[in-house]
Amino acid sequence: MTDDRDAALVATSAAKRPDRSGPVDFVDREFVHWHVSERDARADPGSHARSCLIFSCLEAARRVWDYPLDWRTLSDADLAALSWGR
Amino acid sequence: MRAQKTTVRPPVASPVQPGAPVLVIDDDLPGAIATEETLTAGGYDVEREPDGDAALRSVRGSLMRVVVSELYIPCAEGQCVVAALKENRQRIPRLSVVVYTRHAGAVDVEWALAAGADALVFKSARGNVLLREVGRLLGAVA
Repeated sequence: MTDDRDAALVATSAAKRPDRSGPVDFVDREFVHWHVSERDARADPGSHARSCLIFSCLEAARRVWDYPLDWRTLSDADLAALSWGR
Repeated sequence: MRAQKTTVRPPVASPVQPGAPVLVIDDDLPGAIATEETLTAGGYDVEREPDGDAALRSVRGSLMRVVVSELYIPCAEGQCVVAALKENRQRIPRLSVVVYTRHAGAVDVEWALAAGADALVFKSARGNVLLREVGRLLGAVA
């Protein structure tokens, strides 16, 4: 069952995303739909960097400071893993 | 030259440090108590403050790592206690702030992010969502 889920996540790969410049949407293995966008964080109090990623879903949003430049090309599984960072 | 594909290490769950201190800031007493009960059930050592100024005093004198705050809590040092906490990186450098709010509009989300919040959880969410975000910021899931 878990293998099937993982395979489904890989199948929904970045290559299928039409826009390589804007926000990215993906579904994690718990079937939560996440919207990921890059935010200019220079004016945000406590900023660690010029920008950060914001992962948002219906119940929550999380800010991630450490992310690769090619984050839009990551698979859904890798984006889900990235969202657990800080 | 082929570009190397970025790989991301998957999350590995680990137990929460027993008694990790968390401060709850909420001027709504029933809401604050409910939040305290959720966090206590998750294994955290919870303190509560009803206003921003008391919260700032409490945080500065402690080893607090995570604050869980309602969004629109004023304090003397700023329009919003979240921003006042995050602007104090020199004095409280490792502090993470989770906004835990009943306000779920797009304007409220932007307000929380512009104040520097590390995470935002809506009070309509299941209790484990709050525990998940606090655990993430404490490194319980890394």
